[in-house]
Amino acid sequence: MTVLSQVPRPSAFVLFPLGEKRFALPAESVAELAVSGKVQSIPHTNPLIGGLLLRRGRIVPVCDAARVLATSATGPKGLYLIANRRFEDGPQEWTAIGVTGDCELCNAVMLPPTGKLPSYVVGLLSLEEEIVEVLDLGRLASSEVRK
Amino acid sequence: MVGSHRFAIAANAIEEIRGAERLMPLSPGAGGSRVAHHTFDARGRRFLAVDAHLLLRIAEAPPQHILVLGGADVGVLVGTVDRMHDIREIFPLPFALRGEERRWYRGLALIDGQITPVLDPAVFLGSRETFRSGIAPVAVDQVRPLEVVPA
Repeated sequence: MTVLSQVPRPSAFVLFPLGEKRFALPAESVAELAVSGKVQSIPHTNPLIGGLLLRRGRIVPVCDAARVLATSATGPKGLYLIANRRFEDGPQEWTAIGVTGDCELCNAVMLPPTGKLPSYVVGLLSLEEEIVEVLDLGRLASSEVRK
Repeated sequence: MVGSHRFAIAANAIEEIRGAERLMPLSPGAGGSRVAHHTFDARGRRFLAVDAHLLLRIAEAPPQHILVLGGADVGVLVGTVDRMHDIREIFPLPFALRGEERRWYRGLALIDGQITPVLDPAVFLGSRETFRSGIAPVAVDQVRPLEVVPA
């Protein structure tokens, strides 16, 4: 007999395309999908921050996720998924990820990561025709660049 | 401007803005650093010229102006100088920027809709420690902080 409380329940995720693959973030961490014109650059030393966006009165760093995920971020420019990034030492802030197409909200059960996946992959979604990696934005944005 | 980047610095930290035509190579043994290779003379004193391009790791370009910092024997080599501007709010640097830039900048300002780093004048004074100008050193805290005007 299966106890009801042990049945994994579906959660909401935002699926977003980056190059030829799709990835997912927990929906509760996503603030919005923004069409934004100009990423502004300032001199700094974090190779994973591609620039800064001005959004709703906030200055939002843009994470160059394609560098970590080793995917070619080809596609339309200027679309950003803005999500809450939690830092290991406590603070949190909005962070933008450039996406290359429309995003989708889905309800699915997150499966535990299998095999040797990077630490920023916190789970997998088994959808009809694809397996989608669920990302931890905090770990992703503090990762080494995948070679 | 430093390279193609625009910056702000507190007006009350700047004693004078000069042309950068009369720079002199730092003499051997005078104590230069990675970011300071020149000196200049003004008002009977010798100043160390700190190149903002080198400090901020921006592609080198011929300096056009020197921002002479008040109360210190240091000038900052920059490109063009734009104008005075009232900054009403300084935004903190995003947490994602955790490297040297936290020393470089007091924060970020919005000027004409452009995100503009506000330089901390104190960052330019570090090179001075090895500079032997024969002038008594001035404490870093004598460079006055930027006054933030409430919105």
